[in-house]
Amino acid sequence: MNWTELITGLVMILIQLALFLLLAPLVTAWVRKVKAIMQNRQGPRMMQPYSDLWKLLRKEVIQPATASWIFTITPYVVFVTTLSVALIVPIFTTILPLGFIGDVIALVYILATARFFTALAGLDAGSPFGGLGSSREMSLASIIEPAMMLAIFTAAVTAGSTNLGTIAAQADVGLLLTPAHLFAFLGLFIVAMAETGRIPVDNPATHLELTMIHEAMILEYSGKYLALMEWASSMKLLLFLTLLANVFLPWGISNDLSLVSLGVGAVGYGLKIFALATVMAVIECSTAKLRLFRVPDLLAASFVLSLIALILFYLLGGESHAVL
Amino acid sequence: MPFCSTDLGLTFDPQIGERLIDLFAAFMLVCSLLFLATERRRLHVRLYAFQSLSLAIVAFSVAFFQCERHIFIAAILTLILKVIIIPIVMERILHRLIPQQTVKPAINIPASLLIAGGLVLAADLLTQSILATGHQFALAQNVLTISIAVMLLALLTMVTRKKALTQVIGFLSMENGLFLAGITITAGMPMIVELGVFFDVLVAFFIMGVFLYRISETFDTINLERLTKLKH
Repeated sequence: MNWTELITGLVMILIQLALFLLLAPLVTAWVRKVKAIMQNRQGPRMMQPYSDLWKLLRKEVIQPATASWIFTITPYVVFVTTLSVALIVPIFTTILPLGFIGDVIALVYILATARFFTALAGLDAGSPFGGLGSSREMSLASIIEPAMMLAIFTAAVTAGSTNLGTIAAQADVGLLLTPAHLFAFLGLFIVAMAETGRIPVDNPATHLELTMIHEAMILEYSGKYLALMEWASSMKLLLFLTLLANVFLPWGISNDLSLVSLGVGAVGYGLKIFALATVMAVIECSTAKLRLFRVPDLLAASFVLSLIALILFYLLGGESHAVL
Repeated sequence: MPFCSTDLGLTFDPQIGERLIDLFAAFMLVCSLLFLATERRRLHVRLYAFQSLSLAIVAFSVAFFQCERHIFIAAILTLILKVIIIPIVMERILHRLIPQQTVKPAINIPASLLIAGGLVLAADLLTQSILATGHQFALAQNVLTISIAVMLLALLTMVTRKKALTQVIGFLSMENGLFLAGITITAGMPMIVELGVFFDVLVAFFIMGVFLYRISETFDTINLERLTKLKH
């Protein structure tokens, strides 16, 4: 590897990290804005999440008396794991300098690490709500994860690789999805709603003890820890939107490093993300939150959609591009 | 006069038409699956309308890309009858039905969804054995699998759900599956047969609508389990 390649790689990594860090609160703000407009409210301004984060970062941290070191390291673990996943997801180019460090399987388990620590911290804080949130989160996770694996595997099998850059490059199928991709897309969409705690599963805007899942676990956090947790959860939202956009709808994504195709890729990426975020907000406004015991029904639907995607792929004579 | 691709002097990559048909047939299967995944009656009606819309788009694509002019008529009839009239009438029936508690399905949702996954597999095995006989179909296997799967899932809906309305929806959705198989395998049955099927469905639907209303009036519920003892 010569110097120019190394420097291009480094620059790309930095750009990717910066984009994820800076764009994530904006996407969260956009979802809130669309919801507000649909509910005939004015809603907070688009820069509000940035101001919130800035304020929280400067505030004092208060720890519960029972909390141990797990409580202290969890925000950092969650933030860093989420950010590191951002490095193995293609954003607007399929060339990933750090693509070799992990594939889709690593992605699922890096996210699981973050979930594990969040659940531990919920228990560690010693409040009954934390434990309740952790238990709900883990029981749902046991259904979410297989569905997510299946959906992503369908894309991986079609492309013949588990590297996300290769998947995005291979999935370029013109304007139309194949039936298998359609099913996997819907499956992963439901998973994304569940993973990011959106309305049919969880409500990100409430602290009502009967319903909250994610908010219950981070209830005891304050100050910069809370800022890191909030920032990580908006990055997670952006991450899932990116996965949906680039694995299933890779229109316009650039396959080389020329400025024109990078520009097209960036514009296309922006449009796709905001379109998907809008769809998510509309779904949040037009459905009621499910009772906790009905959530497995929804996730079962997601699992079966992904399963049918695999069946359709194999049995409809889909040809893998595999170079296994 | 309706037109098709060759009239316009356009030549398309044959792949485009086929993929459009595949995609919208897959949308139909998604709808069948969602019938099983939800209990909301109003959502069922909307899903049925959407499934019929996808069917109409498939029919239009077959007509346009394969130049089968008479399928345009079938597509337009699908659009008018199944996307507009039947859902509207069904909404009106829903308004007149007595509100009731939810009726638990015979098999719970996650289990019926898993069975549905198995049925899709079965549909494919069936398709493979049909194709093994050596027949050549216009749009053969992809759509044939999906249409058989749509029929089987509709049957599962009818068997496991106890509400009369859901069973009517299951019946109508099964007819959608049949129609899909019809237009894609044979590239269109004779017009007279298709028209006959349309009127059959319409008449069957109205009779079922009247029945629904009567059952609801007499028993104060459309839970069909009550019908097993025919006295009240």
